[in-house]
Amino acid sequence: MSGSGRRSPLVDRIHAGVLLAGGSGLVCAYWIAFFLSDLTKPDFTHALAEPGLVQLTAVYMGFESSFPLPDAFVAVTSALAGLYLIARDPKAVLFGLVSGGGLMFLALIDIYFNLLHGFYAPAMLASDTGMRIEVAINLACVSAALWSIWRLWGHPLRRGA
Amino acid sequence: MPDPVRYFLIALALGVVSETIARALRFWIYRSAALAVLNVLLMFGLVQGLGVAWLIGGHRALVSIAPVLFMTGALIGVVYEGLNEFRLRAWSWPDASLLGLTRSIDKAAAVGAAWGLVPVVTAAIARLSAFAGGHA
Repeated sequence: MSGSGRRSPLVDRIHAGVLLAGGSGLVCAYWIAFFLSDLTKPDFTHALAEPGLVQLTAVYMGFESSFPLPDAFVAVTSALAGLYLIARDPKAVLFGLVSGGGLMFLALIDIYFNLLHGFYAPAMLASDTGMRIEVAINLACVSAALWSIWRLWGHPLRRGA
Repeated sequence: MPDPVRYFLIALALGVVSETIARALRFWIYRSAALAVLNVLLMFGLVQGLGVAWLIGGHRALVSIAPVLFMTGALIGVVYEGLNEFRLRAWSWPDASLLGLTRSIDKAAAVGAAWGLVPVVTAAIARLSAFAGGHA
C-alpha cells in the first residue's frame, strides 16, 4: 500500500535524497564527465607518449567502458527506490535492496581490478589525482550501499508498516 | 539541418506521437491542454532531445553512450513524475490499468523510467536520418 498522503520522516527524506542525488545523480554525472571530458579519468591515461602506460591505459579504458550499462541499472533502480521511499511505499525496500546490491557488486569489481593491477599502490596514489578520486568513489559506493541495505532491511516498510 | 535542431525536432515528434496515443487510450489526463503542449515542447524537445540526447550523446558512438542517455533520461523522468505526483498535479492517472499497473505511484515510476528511452530513440533516429541524408 502506498502512503503518499502521509509525509515521510526526515531520515527517509534524507535517504531518498541520497538515493536520487547520490545513487542516481552522481552516477549519471560521473559517466557524462567520463564521456565528455577527462575529469574522471586517472592521470596516467593522458600520458600516452610513455610506451609502458599505453597498454595499461588500454586495459583500464576497456575495463571502465564495460560499466555504463550495469551502472544504468543501478542508477534507475536507485531513483525508483527514492521515489517509492518518498511515497512511503514498500516497493522502496525492493528497489533499494536491488540498487544497493548492484552498487556493492560493481564497487567490489572495480576495487578488485584496481588491486590486481596495482592502481592502489602508494606511489600511484601519490602521483595520480584521478586515482585518488577513484579511491574516494570506491569507498563512497561501498559505504552508501552498506548503509542503504542496512537501513532498508530494518525499515518498517519491509514489514508492511 | 543543424544537429541541435534535428535532435529537438525528433524528440518533439516523439512527444507528439506519445501524447496522441496516450490521449486516445486515456493513459493519463492533463489538467489542461496547454500543459500537454508544454510537456512536449519543454520535456520532450528541450530537456530530453536537445539537453540529454544532443548535448550528451550527439558526438559519441551510440552503442557506448546509450546507457548514459538512458540513465540520465530516466533519472530526469523519475524526478519529473515524482514532482507531478507529490506537487504539480499537472496530469493524473485514470483508474484503468496501464500495462498491468493500477496504482498511480506505480504508473508514475514506470513512466518515469520509460523517459530514459526518449533520448536513446532520439539519438538513434538522428543518426539514421543523418545517414539517410548523407546517402540520398
